[in-house]
Amino acid sequence: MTLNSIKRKLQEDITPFDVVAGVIYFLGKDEPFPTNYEKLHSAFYAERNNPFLKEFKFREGGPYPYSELLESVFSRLAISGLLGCENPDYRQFVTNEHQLKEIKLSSLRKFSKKQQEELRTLSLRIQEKLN
Amino acid sequence: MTFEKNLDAYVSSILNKYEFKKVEHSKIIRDAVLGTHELSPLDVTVIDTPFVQRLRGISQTALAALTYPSATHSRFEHSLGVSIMAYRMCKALIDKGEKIKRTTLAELRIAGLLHDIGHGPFSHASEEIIRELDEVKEIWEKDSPFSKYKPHEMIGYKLLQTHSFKDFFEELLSKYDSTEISLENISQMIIGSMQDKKNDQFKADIINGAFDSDKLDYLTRDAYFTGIKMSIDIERIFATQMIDRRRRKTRRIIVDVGGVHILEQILFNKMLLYPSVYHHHKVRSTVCLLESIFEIIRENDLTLSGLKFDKVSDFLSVDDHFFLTSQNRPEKVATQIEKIKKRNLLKRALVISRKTVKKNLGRLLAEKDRPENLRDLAKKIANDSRLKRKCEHCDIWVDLPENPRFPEPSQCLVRVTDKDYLHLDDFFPVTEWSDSFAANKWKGFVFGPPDLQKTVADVTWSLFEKLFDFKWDKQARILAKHSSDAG
Repeated sequence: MTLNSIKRKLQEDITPFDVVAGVIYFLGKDEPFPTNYEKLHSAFYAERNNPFLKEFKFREGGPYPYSELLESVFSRLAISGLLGCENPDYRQFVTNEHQLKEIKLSSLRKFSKKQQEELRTLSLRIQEKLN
Repeated sequence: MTFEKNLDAYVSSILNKYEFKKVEHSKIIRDAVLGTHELSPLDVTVIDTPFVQRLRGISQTALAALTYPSATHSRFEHSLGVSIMAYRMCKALIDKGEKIKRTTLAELRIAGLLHDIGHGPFSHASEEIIRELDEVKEIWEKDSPFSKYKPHEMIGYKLLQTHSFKDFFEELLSKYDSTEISLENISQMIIGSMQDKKNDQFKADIINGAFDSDKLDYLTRDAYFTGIKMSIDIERIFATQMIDRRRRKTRRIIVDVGGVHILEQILFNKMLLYPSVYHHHKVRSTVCLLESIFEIIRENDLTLSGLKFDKVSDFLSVDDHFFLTSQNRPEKVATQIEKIKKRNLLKRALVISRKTVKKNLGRLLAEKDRPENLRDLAKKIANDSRLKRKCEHCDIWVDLPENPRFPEPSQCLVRVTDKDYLHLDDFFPVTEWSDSFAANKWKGFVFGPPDLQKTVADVTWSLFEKLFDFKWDKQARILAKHSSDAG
């Protein structure tokens, strides 16, 4: 595989990480959102039939639907500095301009214009459930 | 249906060779962690089955013993531990006045014994390979109800549900006049989800819930055998756990407010065990070597004793010892096995973390969702002119370990008064606090052969700059502690 072909593949392949980063891009543009697992997982679960979320599987045995992959993605977003929460409460995720710009350049660019609009709609629906 | 068919054929072949003997008396065992415990004749019979006995050959923490010499404990001891913990947890509920049938107690003990029979060799180290098998992916993609469970849970459940196992278990129960014990209940406990959630969910919570007997055992056992000093007041947990008895609420295990600090203690211990043990760079290096064996088998279309490891039953047919035998193995496989046996492990070329990568770390972490892309990166590194003919891609790994998860506080309800109930994370944002700790502690690695550390670092450094627009910090090399580089 040439360097360019790997690069192209990495830049085109939309991963679950990119989907959640994209949702956060539209969510975080307006305001902070809750870190609460129950709210977050339930909000994504409600939209689980959206084609963007097809790789996310939710356990339904617990008190709320829970996805290991979703937690993994949130954890990786935190490690990579694309998402953070403010001390000392840790109750809300916040994204600053720099983080939003990085998400736009890294993940959002993988989506076509049409897909970005669909992602924005998904994000709005999730936001409604979070509020 | 291929998966179920293959599994049934595997179970049938095992049971055909197995001669069941009725045990007449209970037995006493002494466990290093949990002390003395009495096993019923039925427990002993379940333990004697080949499915549970196989767990003696599967180490609890894969090859962590190469780093923590005393961590040689197996899934077998852990399964006994889960059974004992489940029994004690349930007994404590009964002592507090909960009306729980003796049958449930027996089912919980058996579920503890059987909960890990779906594990492949080296426990979680082979789970990532199993997850990628075509027959498992097929189940995932069909979106069957099982796609949300961990592979070993799903496999354990499916194994118990094979016709062959059902017939065998029915016969076994009849010998003990225990036909009221339900294999369906036991199977549901293992995947953590009871069919009658409203009335029975507490049973699954004991085996596979927020603060279940599995977690209580593996944390204490892994800490004990690695020598990590850790303490969990298990008696206090048992004393404060109860069943949610509110009307119209699911009967789950909840905790009295007096147990909150112990639950926090469990989570802090879990949080500390990850960087110390499970994500220790040497432990991760051994996991990569193990994965390389499966990769070599797959890429070269090899077999080991006739097994291709392209279906779940192949993984269930063997234990760790099978893999640590290098005789009569294809040369490439034998080479990797010798590296493990001689502890000639892969070494860190670069350390990846939020401190060592100043820009665009997310672009690499997104690829964790695509393991095949990470292997393409390894191949690209190995094919660089500076490394070509000096190493192969099976010795280059971009390792991004999964961070520990902390959903427990949001899943566990705390009773403050008869009318007031809160979630554990209402007392202290322990999940977010632990997540933040884990995000800061997290490290990924690029591993390579010991004599090529610096060259692998040089190649990866520039490759990731080109592919991900990385901005490395020199700490990425410093923390890898390079020794002399013959390359």
